[in-house]
Amino acid sequence: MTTHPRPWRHVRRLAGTIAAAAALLVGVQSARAFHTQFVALNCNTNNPQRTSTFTRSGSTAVALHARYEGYQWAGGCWKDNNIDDSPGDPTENPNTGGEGGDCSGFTFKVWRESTNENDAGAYQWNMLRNIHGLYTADRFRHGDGAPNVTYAKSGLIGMDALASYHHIGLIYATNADGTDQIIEAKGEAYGTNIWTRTYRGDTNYSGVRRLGWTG
Amino acid sequence: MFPRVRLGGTGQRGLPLPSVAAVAATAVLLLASACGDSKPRARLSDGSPAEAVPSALKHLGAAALLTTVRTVRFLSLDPRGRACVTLTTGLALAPDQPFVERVDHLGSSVTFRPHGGPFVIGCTSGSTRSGSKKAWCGHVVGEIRGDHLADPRFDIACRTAGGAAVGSAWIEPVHNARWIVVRDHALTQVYPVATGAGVALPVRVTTLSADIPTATGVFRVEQYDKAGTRVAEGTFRTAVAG
Repeated sequence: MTTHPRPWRHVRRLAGTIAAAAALLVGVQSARAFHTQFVALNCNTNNPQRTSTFTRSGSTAVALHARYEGYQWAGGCWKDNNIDDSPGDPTENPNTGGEGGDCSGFTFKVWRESTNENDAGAYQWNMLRNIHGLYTADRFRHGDGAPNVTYAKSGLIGMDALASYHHIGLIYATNADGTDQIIEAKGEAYGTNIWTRTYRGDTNYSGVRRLGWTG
Repeated sequence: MFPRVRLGGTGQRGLPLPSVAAVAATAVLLLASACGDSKPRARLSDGSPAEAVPSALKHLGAAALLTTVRTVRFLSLDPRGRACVTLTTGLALAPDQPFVERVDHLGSSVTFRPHGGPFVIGCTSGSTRSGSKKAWCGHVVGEIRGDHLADPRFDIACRTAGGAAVGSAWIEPVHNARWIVVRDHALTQVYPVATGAGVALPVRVTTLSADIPTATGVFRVEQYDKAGTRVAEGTFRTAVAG
């Protein structure tokens, strides 16, 4: 009867163990690279605070807290430290748990909307409250939700929005040449910031206004 | 294929608790099922009785409910279908532009891909007590990249007649899939995959497992070929996004 020498069997077993460990390590590292666990480590599910005063300048301040922060598909939680805390996540994956809102989640929070579509009231959401809200950019574009209406683009002012079927941005300021400075959650590679855009002249974009401002 | 990155176990930890309305709606369906024999025991959202599931899928059990699918061309689209076109796109469509109309237990939908281009467009509605067709409450636009849908475009704009939130999303059939099955509490819905030129489209499916405060939904999906063999399965958690 022929048998393998024991030392050779040990070597094969050791090689297999090393290969398995290496594969596991690669898997763990790539998972870590995409999963900073920002939401799990930083965000909460606290109730919002209903507010009776609701001004455009106040919402501008809310929006600026998100400037220079990250972008997360279906996200809505950010830390105001001027760093994207979860760069390079896979795009359009709602489960990566990274920092930032997406375009519609950012708008929902800045506009202080309710999770009840029929409620036009204003709700203060803390920036570390993880919430995206009920609306896609396309639904905002149609003026869906009690506080939201479509609005002529020529009449839009600061903190009104320009929305297409796939994106929405808020007007931060209007330039003399007819373009706008838009504050928006642009994408995983860009984060949230202010850019000069020509959305107002783009037929794919419609004007949207949040109603109920008190100032 | 399914939408990228959404199959797998990600939904298990984050399953939203079913709302009272969702549980009630499911209970109503169960009662309707329990009172029947081998005849169709539940109605679709348009009031029509659900047909029996194909014999190849008998193993799904008596509670499985066959939904309907119909392909129509733009020229023969009814006013409601045309309203979806008006609602979602200003594009001029070819007379033979195909539309896929679906009716399931929780609502109805229409899906089309203008000119076979990079976008899939859909409208959804919930159910009414009378079974009459309801105006569109949801409208969604998905982007095709590399022959696959970039996102299932989860939507929570619609309600059942009883007020339960209906979540809807697109599922991409895998190769050879003839039916898509969505299990949702006691409700098992069977969606025939549309076949024919221009209708290789994602299938709009519905769930009562929509969690409104988090704007998320969970879908337990199986796909079967014409012999009734399961060719794919998975649970995915999706969210209102973008």
